[in-house]
Amino acid sequence: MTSALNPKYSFDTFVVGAANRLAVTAGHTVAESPGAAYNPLFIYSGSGLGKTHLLMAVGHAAKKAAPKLNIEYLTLDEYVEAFHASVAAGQGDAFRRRFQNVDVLLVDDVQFLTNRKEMQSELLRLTEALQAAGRQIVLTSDRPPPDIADLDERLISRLSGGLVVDMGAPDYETRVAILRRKAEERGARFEPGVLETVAQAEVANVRELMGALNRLVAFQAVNDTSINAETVKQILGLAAGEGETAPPGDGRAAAAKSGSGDEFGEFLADVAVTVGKAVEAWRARVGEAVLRWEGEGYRTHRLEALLQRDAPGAVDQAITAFAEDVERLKALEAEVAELRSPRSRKTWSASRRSRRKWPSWIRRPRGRACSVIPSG
Amino acid sequence: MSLVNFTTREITCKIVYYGPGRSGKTTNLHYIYGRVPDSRRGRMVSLATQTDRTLFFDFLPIDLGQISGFSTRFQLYTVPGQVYYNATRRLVLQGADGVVFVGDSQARQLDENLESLQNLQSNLLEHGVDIRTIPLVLQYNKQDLPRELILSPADLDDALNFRSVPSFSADALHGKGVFETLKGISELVLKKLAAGTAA
Repeated sequence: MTSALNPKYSFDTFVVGAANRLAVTAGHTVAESPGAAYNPLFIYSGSGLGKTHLLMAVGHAAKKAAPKLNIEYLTLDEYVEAFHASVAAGQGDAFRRRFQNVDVLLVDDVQFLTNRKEMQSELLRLTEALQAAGRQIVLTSDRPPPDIADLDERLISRLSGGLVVDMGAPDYETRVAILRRKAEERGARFEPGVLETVAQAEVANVRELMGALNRLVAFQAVNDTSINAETVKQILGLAAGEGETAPPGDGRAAAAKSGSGDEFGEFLADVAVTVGKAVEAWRARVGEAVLRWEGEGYRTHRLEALLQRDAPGAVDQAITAFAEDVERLKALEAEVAELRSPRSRKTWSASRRSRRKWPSWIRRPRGRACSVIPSG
Repeated sequence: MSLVNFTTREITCKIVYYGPGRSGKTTNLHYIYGRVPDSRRGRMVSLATQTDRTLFFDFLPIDLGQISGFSTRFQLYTVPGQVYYNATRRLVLQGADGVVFVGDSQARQLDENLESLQNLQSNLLEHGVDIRTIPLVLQYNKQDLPRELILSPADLDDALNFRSVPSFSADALHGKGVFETLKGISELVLKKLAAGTAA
């Protein structure tokens, strides 16, 4: 019932700033020496500030440092679900043994312990057992242990006994760094000053920041124009004249607006992002090549086969190679035409030899009077 | 039918709103129609009886314009919910890329919801489509009605959502959940289309 660690959530992709530096340092320490310091490590912050990312980063780093470690990540709900399933199957003891053998246990969203006395007892027992065995436990919540309603005093004491550390909202510099990192990951390019302008917006968490970035990416995608630091204010509603964003007659500009009650615009922005992900640029390049060569009368099965791939590996070389082969074919056609002229009939046998060397994929271009091109 | 056509650079999605009679399928389309700019929508074709029941089907084409270099169009259809129009329902379902099942949240309509869902499954099968593979989302409409008359989304999930597909609470009359549902099915359809081109 445990979840896999998301490979994207590592320390490498975590942007560190003043508001989360302590939590990240503690996470590094725990990953390097599980069970030796800060046990349990309790990280809390508001929603969307990177708790889950940091928790998984600890798991990745611990696994990298000691590949044989048994590391489990799960949300509290998954833990509860697994517990209930085990008890229902009469395997309660097996459940406890399983978790007591974990070297690094990462539990997300423990604020949901409220009103779950049975699970509180279970978690208390587990925390004690793990600590006694020198095994590490890291927990996250949206509030510190004493603020979790209806939490057993003993559990509050136990969870607070290691290190309780919070993460705040990112400051301006961190927001700029996050935006740059995410834009780079998505292959999006913006004019100088755009991301800095976005970072000036008051956002409560990183998710809102990502929402703003998504809108900019969608705007650029649907309008095929780059945006500058001035227009970004209008797009994100940072300036008074936010309604002036849309060029006259262009409904697509609405795609980048949000929070204005423009449901269709928001829908369009979402679709643009999904299409952008679905129709990768490399497929579009292959599509263009197919369109071009098919239009000139050549068979393009070899190119179309590229579209069946899951990954873009070397498609550009394949497109270039196809173009080069077409040029060779054109040269051969010209040569054959020359050979077919009465003056050149004597050299016909030589041309027969040369055509045997033609690539097997080459077929007679449609609509071309070139009868000497081999059929098989 | 290849809906992401790299040669003509077109994306076309046919989405069918399915469900029992009076569950709010046409209301969904009317709400969407009212929010789409004039330049982006085609004429909504609606064939209704004098009592506003859908007689044949509703059709709403939406032109999303150029997205990532692809001319993108959505075609939204509803089916008549009444039992005796099954031939029409089957016809409308033909070639659907995704289905929104609009359920009526009223407790007394649960059997109608189940019957309609089974009808959807059987009509899809007639077209050789397995309901487990086609993009599908559920919408639990009329959640604005008094609590004592309706089932909660969780109860409806238990009763209807055997595939664990995305489900949305809605009050289509006032628009709550309408675009969320459309976004949900669009995402599933577009992902499937992209996967289809790679298959």
